[in-house]
Amino acid sequence: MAQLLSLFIVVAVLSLLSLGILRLAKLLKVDGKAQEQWIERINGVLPQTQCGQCGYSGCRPYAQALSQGEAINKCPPGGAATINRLSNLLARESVPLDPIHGVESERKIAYIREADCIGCTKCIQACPVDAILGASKRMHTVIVSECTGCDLCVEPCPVDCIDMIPAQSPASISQWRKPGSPTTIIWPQTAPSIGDATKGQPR
Amino acid sequence: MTEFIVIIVAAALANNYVLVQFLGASTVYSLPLGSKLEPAIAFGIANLLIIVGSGALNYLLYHALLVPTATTYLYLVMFMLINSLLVVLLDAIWQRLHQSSYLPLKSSMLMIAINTCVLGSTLISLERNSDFLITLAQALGAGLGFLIVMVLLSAMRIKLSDPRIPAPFQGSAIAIISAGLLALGFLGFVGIV
Repeated sequence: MAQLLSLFIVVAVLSLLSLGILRLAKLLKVDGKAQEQWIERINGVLPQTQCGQCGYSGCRPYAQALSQGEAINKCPPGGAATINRLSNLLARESVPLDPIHGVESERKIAYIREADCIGCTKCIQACPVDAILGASKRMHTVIVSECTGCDLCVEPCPVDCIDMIPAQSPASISQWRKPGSPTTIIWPQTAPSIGDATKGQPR
Repeated sequence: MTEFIVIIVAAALANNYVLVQFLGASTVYSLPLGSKLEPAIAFGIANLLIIVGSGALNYLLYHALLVPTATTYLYLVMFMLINSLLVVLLDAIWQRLHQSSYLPLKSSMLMIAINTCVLGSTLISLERNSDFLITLAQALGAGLGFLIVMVLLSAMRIKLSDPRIPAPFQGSAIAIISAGLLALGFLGFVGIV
């Protein structure tokens, strides 16, 4: 009985202690929220390609590093426009893009030549923003409004049926759009329409 | 005083927890590899603080709470609880201060809570029936040793991200080999105390 009582006392004391420490931690953490919001704001300026060319695993990790003093010229997809906006937001000097991480190129969109696609799903796994639709042994296609043009799907394709074709956002090519916003793209002349692909083939 | 220093040096170098006693080796490798040393230093310091804090707090609670109530069989549960709570507290304090230094990542903070080096230093002091000061010295030595190894190994890993390493040795293989070589180097400290 006495043993049970002492066990009860110890558990009670430890529970109270844990509650106290957790409460203290919560009180101390109030500032954490402001920090999160700040990182969110920086993240909003980044192009959200999740391409990892900056050396971080995605745009948000890079935004977090930026909030702690990382260099602002490590984002090739964003290019000069993003660097300018970052330099305004973070009140830092604007510097040219660091060529170690890549060069700025015109905005592109992935295009799957559907006639050649064998349905291996490798590009789906490579896509950081889930912009490729398809299933195993079924033809895949790119959701244009989600594609960030990061290039990551081109390399894993075993039959090389993915092309990067230039795209134009309505506003300006230098302004990166957010995923989900409307995009018009210039399809290549060679891209077969569904009608062409099926025409004249034996059923 | 001399004893205090000897214990710190012994725990940090001759009996280094990571390389000689193989405690907390997984935590050393838990930090994602970047190109800079600052995160490793910040992470090592966070571990040092937790090891010292948990050593002191666990000693006090063990002798002030568990021994009088004859519930010493609860020691493992209590140590784990205190370690996790200290990590939560340190995380909050670190965020509060958020100096210009690099914040250790959240998942890495969790790795501190399950760092065997933290629990190990407390348990070893308990096993040896050391008094409070000796426990503190032991913990300080363990933390310093962890910090040293953390920084050394991270620096080695940054250098070893060179792509010219032969394919069979890339990745974990070279990481384990380099840790082994560093452990051999630390063997040389055995003679100093």
